[in-house]
Amino acid sequence: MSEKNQEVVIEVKNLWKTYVLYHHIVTSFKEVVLHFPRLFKKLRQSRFEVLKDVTFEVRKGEVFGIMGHNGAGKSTLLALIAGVIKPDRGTIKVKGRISPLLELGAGFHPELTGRENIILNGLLLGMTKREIMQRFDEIVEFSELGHFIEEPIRIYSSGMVARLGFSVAVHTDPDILLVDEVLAVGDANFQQKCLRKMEELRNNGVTMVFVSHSRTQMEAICNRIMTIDHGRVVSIEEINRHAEEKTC
Amino acid sequence: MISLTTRQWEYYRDLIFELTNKELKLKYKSSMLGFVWSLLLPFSHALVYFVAFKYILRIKVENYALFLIVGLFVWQWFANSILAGTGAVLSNGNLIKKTRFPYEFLVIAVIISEWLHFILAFVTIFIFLAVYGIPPTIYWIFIPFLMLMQSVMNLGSAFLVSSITVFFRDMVWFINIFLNMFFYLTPIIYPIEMIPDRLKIFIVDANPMALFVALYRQIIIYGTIDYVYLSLAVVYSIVVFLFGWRVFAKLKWKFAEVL
Repeated sequence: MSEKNQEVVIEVKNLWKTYVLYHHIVTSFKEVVLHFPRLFKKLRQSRFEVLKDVTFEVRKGEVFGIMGHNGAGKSTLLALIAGVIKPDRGTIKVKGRISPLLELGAGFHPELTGRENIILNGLLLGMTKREIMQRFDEIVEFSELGHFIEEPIRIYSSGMVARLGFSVAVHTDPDILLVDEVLAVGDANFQQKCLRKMEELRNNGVTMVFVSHSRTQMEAICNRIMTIDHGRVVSIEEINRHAEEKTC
Repeated sequence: MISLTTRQWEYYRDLIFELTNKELKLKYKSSMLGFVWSLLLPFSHALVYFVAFKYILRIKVENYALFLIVGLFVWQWFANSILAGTGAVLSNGNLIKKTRFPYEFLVIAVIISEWLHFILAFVTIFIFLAVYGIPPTIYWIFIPFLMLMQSVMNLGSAFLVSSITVFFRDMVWFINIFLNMFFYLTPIIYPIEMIPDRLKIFIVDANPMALFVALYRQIIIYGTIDYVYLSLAVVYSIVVFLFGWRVFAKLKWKFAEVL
């Protein structure tokens, strides 16, 4: 593989992220009035560093894995790449359109129908309505929802919601796909279908960033795996994929 | 200046349309009378004030019913925009945490939805005008401009409350008290002429809502317009908008962390 020569699509340099636990600080007016002196003390205690000096690059077409224990900072890192939060120090450069698969179906509204949610979700992912409608049938077909597409999401099972969420996200023509342990959802058949779809996207040059704590799952898919622990990068290793050439 | 490509225009248009559509759908999802409720509220208030002030306190205002209706509709529009604004960001936490899109549009959608309500309510004012036999005047051309300026102010206020509510949930309580006090201190159920001169500077000159209510009444009922009021209203609207927008722009980066 000649990925070394490919252009860098995600460049993360000396990234620091500190969370202020706002919930610890102010939750109500009563709190402010009654415990005012404690507020400043709390402010100091309520900071904690999620990511410490993180640096890495992802090249076009790569499948990049981020591994770590719960609370190691994986999801924060994905949120930073997706651009929903800002770093405190350091830089992130991302080239191309990102489609985040963070918590499938999180962007859906339960009272709207599947159809309305596809349009809304597509828009939030950066597509115009025309672009969404061009892919509409494909999205519905992939999700296997059939006539349920006209029903409000609140009557869907969690598997159905996940299917629709996955289907919208992969049909937005992303340049970069961020995947946060989504494959834990849906039945086995649909999981296989998701993996095949991702394989197809990968062959089309879509870059993928995977987050998981399961090493076996990661090794099967990724070119490189970065391990983080307590917010620091521990290692970045190449995965030699010549050995196993099995289709998922 | 920022120049937008055709695709970006199309995108923003679609985003506004769909978010507003969602707003309206959710508002009336399981209500039988739907939009009619939004009319019944100011009308019921008008009825009560009419009885209390016209027949009990014996207020001396010509065409008092029309006077009330105009004032209450204009106020209701402002109050509803602010109240809807408090939930504009908060209730869309799951969208904000998941994707990055211009969050401002969540607030814009709420403001447009409230504007549509006002437009529909406004139509009923024409029925009153016909009943009272008040003819339209040339000053009516100012109505769209007035609506635009009030939208700008409503948007600014909504930007402000929507972003602050994310960090300070008690804001909703505060807003309710604030709106209640603000309502009675604004010449809506009583005319400006009844306010003592030394209070006018606070209750009228420094109060954009008093100016807007007065301007709508001048144009619709009295067939005149006060250009000083108009200029002041424009200045206040722009100031409120810029302030609210700046606060929103500063706080929006923390939304995903807090929600």
